[in-house]
Amino acid sequence: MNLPNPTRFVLPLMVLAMAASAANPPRPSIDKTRPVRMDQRFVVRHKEREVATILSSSFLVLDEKARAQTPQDFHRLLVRFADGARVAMYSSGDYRDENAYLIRTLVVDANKGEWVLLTIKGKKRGKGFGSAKATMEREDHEALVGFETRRLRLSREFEGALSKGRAGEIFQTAEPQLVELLQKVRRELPSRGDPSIARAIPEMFSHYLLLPEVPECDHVVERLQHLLANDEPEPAKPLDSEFEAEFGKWASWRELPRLKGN
Amino acid sequence: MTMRRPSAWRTWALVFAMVAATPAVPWGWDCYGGWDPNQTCTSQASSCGSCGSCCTIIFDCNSARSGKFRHLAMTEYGAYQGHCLTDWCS
Repeated sequence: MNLPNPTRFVLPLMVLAMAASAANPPRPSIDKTRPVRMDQRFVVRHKEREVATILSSSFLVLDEKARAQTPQDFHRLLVRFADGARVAMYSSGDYRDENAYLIRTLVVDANKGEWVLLTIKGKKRGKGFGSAKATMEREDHEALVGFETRRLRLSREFEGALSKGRAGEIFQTAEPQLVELLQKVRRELPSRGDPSIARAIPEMFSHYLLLPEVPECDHVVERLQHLLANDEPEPAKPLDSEFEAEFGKWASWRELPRLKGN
Repeated sequence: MTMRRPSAWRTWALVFAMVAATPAVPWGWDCYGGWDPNQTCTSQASSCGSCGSCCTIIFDCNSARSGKFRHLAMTEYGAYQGHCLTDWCS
């Protein structure tokens, strides 16, 4: 009886092994009590047509107890639309002050250099994300909310007063292009079931500025890649440096991009 | 006077009527039919198909609250998604 030559199977087996290894990368070794950088790349599609690419980057702590003590968090979403528009969005939380928290949320038209900054400040007791969360959960807590653009500064008002005041009307009248920018992101991303949660940032603006409703789209958002690693003590490697570079000075990490004089 | 035993149909009808009349006891935030945003995504993954899908549903529930909560929700969603990714849920 002639036995098959085993060397005929070596190469196919090697190819299979390599493919399996690429499909199942080794489990990352992560200290969940220390901050991580989590990068994710998404594509937004309308049927077969690609609408946008999103690179999401977050700085946060995975472990719940450790997260309660964390002094800062940071989210960045870089969105490149198929029509050439580029939007950089940020939301950062600063919980270092024992008596107050500060959330700063920014949307930038990276092609034109126009931006709108939302600041939310509130009193709290104790340091860390946990104390800010506990404060916000209280029904009697109201934060102070303010807006700023290159041309406009709306001084902070209590949240409850915004719906009764004229801040939304003033902003929509004075900054129609920024309104359109916010609305564009809201129109092109689904309001539910979106794993990128990119729409969350313009929705924060919409909530306080009372922007008009937008029609719901039937676009689908799919995650293509991710990279997760501790960002301390050494900075983690970005998932896509080339994509970040397309946004130039409007792509920054762990801090908002410089606004004044930029 | 003798009492007749109620029929099985009548007994079950009575049970259903009692259940329907009992006020529902809230067990969690009823969002999209029962997802509890205070539970981790992993604990509900078997119900919504995947760890990541649960995280997204819970985020959508939490972000329905006012503006500043969306930032908190983004951080907690990110943490849950990171947990899903590191534990290889998908």
